[in-house]
Amino acid sequence: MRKSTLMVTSLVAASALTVAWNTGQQTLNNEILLMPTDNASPAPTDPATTDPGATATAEPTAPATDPAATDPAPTQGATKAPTATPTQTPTQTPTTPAAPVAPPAPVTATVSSDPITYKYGTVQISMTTVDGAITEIKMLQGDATNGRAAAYTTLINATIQQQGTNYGNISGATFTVDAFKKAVDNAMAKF
Amino acid sequence: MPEIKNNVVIIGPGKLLRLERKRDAVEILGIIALLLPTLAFLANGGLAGVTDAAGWFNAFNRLTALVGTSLLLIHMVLVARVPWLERTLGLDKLTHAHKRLGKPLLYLLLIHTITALISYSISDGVNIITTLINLVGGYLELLLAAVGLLLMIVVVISSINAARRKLSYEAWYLIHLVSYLAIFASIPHQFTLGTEFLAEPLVAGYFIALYVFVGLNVVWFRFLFPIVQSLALSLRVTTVRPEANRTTSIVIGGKAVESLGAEAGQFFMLRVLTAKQWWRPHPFSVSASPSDTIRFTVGARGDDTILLQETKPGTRVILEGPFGVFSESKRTKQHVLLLAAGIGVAPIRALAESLASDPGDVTVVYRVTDRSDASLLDEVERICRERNHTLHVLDGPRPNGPGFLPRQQPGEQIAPEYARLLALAPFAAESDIYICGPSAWSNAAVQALKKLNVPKASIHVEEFAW
Repeated sequence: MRKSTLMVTSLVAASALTVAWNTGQQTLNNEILLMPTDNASPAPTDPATTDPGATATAEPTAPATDPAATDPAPTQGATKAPTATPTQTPTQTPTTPAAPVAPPAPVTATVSSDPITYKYGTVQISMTTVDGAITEIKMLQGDATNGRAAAYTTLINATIQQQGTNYGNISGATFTVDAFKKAVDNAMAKF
Repeated sequence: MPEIKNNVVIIGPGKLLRLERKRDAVEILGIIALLLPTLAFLANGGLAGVTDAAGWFNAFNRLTALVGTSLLLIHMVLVARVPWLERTLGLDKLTHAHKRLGKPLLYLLLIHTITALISYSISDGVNIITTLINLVGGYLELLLAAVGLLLMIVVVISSINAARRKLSYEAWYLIHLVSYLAIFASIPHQFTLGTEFLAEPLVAGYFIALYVFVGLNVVWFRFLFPIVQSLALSLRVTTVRPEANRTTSIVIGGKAVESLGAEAGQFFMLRVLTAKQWWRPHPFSVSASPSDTIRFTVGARGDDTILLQETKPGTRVILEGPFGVFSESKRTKQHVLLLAAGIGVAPIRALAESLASDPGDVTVVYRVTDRSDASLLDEVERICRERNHTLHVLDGPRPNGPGFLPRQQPGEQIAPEYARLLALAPFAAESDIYICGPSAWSNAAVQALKKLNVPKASIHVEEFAW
């Protein structure tokens, strides 16, 4: 290749790479991680609305229980009764025990979710709540291919922080994130 | 005796520029093919939010997979013998590029595999061997990909120079066929597990399109077209005639052979359809200006070329080609210097016969060991006489060191080779120079020409080593 052509090509390539990298960084700021959406407006719990880019692919493995389509609430169906209406408080209502009296010993409960099988593996969690607040999540099953399992630590922290699944996606681990959210919702429904 | 026709050829700096632009365009196409997936990866947030080791390994895993796939497709297209590339760069350059890319490609795929294993093993908290066993054992497509990778390693090892010297061409060729299998084995995991492929329909669509495009080019140009064409033209060996120095001329005839569009200086892959030979094609330069027949002059260099000399007239052949840019298509100057050694005389003879020229434009230097046993010498002499080319037949022993001219005789004034060449061909520095001979000999000639400041674009070398 002639020197002049090489120089022009390198310049164009370098600028294209820079632009692409910048675009990528903005994806990070705008979409990806776990922006703690403000509690007053918990509506966009459906991942599809929070991260149009990353979840654009239709979820081919969506299990039959998928309720998200019409329900603005987090993804539980009929079984959500025990929890206070999650549309208003994504947190578990800690008020079920008669609180006003002398504070009793905190109520600790642990449940396991159903195993959620998806494209890259199976996710099953155990969730521990203290007085209804999520305090601990353990992975009972968390195999996922190609390093997607790396997402779990982040997802656990995010779930505890948000007391629910009101957070976005992790680029490159979309299916894993969705499966994890399903497991969390499933566990929360069992309390 | 066929009439010698004087072609019309466009020369000049404008043509040089056009040729250079074309070559640049092809190379830029390759760069774009590597750049696009990288851009998609970055723009899709491939490196965004990567903070920990597992994330970095995973990012590398994904990026090397994308770039590696693109490089693999480039790698295949380089040897698909597609005319639109071949006419620009020449088959030897394409093959060279293919050869040079082999190792980097394997390294990319190895990095992809290793980083994938590491990132997955970190995030799962198990060691790499366990990860490997889990992945390969748990996913059929990964098992296939692993087999594909092993096959590719075998192919690359068989192609490094040390191994090439020990393997026969045929053994190497058979091993090389395995690489198609390796590529097929590696495809499923890209589409079922590839993050980029799954998350971005555009990326997946792009790669599917590339695969189809490359696949069709390979299947058509590399396999089907030569067969279809040769059968349609009903190509057969018409004459086999022994020449000097254990060489043999083989003439191929058929219907409308002109439609092959061969030019002097080009070569074909010749596949003789006998039970023993049909699966082993060999490259041969046309040794006469192509007309209604194609003539090759073949040296006795190996089992197969010896077998070729015993081919019976009437035997069907498949010709793949014409290939090469060792022809007037790359000529930009009025003066032409033709340098031949040994059996390299075949394309040089054809060029001498057909180059557009005025008397004195063309100088032919034919290096032989023994003048009395030089292949095609009488033909070269006749052509040069009839067309008023300057001919120097140089015989004598090789020089003690590297060099392309005969050893200097005692008493002869000692002079560097470029000076001796200039004495033979005063226009050398402003000529298009066509060199064909053994590679060490060609290299020595190119070195001498560089001393004369001949621009690279004016030096055309056809190598007989594959």
